[in-house]
Amino acid sequence: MRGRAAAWSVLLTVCAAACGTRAEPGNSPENPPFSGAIGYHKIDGTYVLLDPVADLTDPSVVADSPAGPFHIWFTYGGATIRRSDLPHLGTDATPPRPALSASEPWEAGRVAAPSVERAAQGFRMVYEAATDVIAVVVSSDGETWTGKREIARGHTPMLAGGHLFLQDSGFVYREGTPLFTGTDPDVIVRATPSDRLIWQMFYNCPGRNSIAICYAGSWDGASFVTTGVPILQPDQPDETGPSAVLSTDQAILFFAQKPTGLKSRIGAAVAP
Amino acid sequence: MKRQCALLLLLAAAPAHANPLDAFGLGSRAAAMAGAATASPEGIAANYYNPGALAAASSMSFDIGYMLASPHMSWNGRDAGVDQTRGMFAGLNVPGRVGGLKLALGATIFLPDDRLTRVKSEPLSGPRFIYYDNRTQRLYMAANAAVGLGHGLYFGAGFVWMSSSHGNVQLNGLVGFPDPEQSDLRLAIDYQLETVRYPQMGLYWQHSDRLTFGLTYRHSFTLRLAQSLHIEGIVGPLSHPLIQNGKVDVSSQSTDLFQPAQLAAGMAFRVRPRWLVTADVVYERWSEFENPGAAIQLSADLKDFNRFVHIPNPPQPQAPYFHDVLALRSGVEYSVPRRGSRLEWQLRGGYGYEPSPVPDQFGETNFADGDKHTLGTGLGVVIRDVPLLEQPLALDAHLAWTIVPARLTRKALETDPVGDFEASGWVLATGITMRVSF
Repeated sequence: MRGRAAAWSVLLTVCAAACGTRAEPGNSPENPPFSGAIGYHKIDGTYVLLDPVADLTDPSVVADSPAGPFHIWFTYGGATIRRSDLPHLGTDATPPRPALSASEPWEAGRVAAPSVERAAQGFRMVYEAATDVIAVVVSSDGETWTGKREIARGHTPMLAGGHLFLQDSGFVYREGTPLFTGTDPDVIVRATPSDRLIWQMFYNCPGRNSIAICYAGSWDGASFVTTGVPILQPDQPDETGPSAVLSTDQAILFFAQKPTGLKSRIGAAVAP
Repeated sequence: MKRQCALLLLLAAAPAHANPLDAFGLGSRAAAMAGAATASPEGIAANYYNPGALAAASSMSFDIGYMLASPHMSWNGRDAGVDQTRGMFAGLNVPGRVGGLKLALGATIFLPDDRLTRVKSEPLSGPRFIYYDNRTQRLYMAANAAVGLGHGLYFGAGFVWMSSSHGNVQLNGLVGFPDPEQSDLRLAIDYQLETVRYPQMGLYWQHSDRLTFGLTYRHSFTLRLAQSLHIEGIVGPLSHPLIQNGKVDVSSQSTDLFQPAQLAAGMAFRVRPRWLVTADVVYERWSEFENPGAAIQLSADLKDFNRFVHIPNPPQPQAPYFHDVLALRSGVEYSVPRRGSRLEWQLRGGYGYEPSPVPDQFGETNFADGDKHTLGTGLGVVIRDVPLLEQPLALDAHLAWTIVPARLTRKALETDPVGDFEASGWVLATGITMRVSF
């Protein structure tokens, strides 16, 4: 009796398991590894940050996590630097608030092209002042900046891995060494899953009809290899000043875009 | 106590392979013994592990069971989304004698309850787990015949059936240009799921009551996915066509599933009346593996506009340079003394190791599979004196855990779109089997 009961119970279990289940749709691979080198597409909607009265250019983004919140510093109206915070893509950013303005004689009334990174004291910003002065300033909270000082000559500076990248005369430089043709470098140094450093640079390059965004990578930060073709073609006349947020399976690229006849605004693209 | 500890250490399961049975085994007894069953398959398991053993059976048997395998593979510590494999299997083994000759027929089927087959084509450089992603969700059928050759030697052979697919899409008619509203296109789709079969054969030698040997060959097979798109028609208004009878052809060839040729040699030794120890060595010819990425061919005949159109040659899949591997499996089965009960319990365990056939990935391809260690355990019970049944009823269950240790991939190019990555994972498989003998 016990044997028969066991047999029937197993038989019923088998039949129920085999016949009563529902087919699930097959999955595409999830979370595939991704370097951030290519594969960007612009997010739905035309921009993430807009100001009705001033051009917003040269974004620099510091992220609390790859999904946000994002702290965005940018050139506001060509001569001052402001900050806005974006909780995550798809939400509204806070209204731009003043972050840094020209106060030193050598700034000649203009600060622009900020590049912000986290530092031991909080944050460090390099920026462009006057016509070709590169300066640095620090902050404990990302709001109040102190200790302005000149450090170099050039344009659109970027501090990464303890080195200063900048552009001059259409070339990207690492300190005094020209690397390749391009402008507006944004460099990220990070450890790969195999625990070696990779230097990833996003910069502006000639694109289809206008300025596009290109990519270069390096294992040592000194010699860079470029993809050879733009990774993001412009829809608007110009899409400049890239700033990337990279993780092992997703990347977000912020940039300034200036539609014809409208104010320049901050847009974004994601990959993959 | 020492025996129990030894048994626990030998807990086993099916090493992972290709199609559902390659990957997770057939039947709970064999799966619990890490698939080390070439020299000791029972019931329908012989249809996969060694067709020759079909003829060695003393009675007809019918097996039915259910299996579920849940892979948890990950990239850089995040879930890779590899699908489950689950389904019912059943089979029959019919031994008999014809003129003093021992003969047997056997058949088995694995019927996934998610999908009967799956077609998947990923980009050339897409990271993937060759073993588990896509390959295990298949309808599997096998039919074998076996004969006794005397002196305890049996030979069996048969075929395994699986499905392949190809198809084409045709668009014919008028392509409205510049006004798409004037388009008049007719669509024809011809898609076919075709049968693919491959042979398998096995030798089974009962050297003595305590010692058996097995040798099984499973042929390789490749399921190819061929698709084509053909567009033919007139571009522009019918009264003044820009292109008369223009053509665009796109064809894609990719590998949907590959199973390496396998040669398995096994031994089963009854070291004591209640202790059976099995061991298998399996040679797997992975060096024939082809890149599963799609090879795309594009051609167009746009008549007077041909000189304005240049179609670059699409990249072709690189050879993956997989290498052959030797997989090792071992199993143990202990029969608990009956002590007068109608129930005879059996405890099983095993360990399987299968090195990865994947070479270091530093270029365009991103095959992520690492070595595999499989541990498992199983429990069986033979129930005697079941009403209506002359023979005992056997119930088996198994639980198998395959571990894929982390494997680091370091890419050569700084601009590699995938970059360095770490792949790892584990697979939990379980199942039950019931055998009725007549």
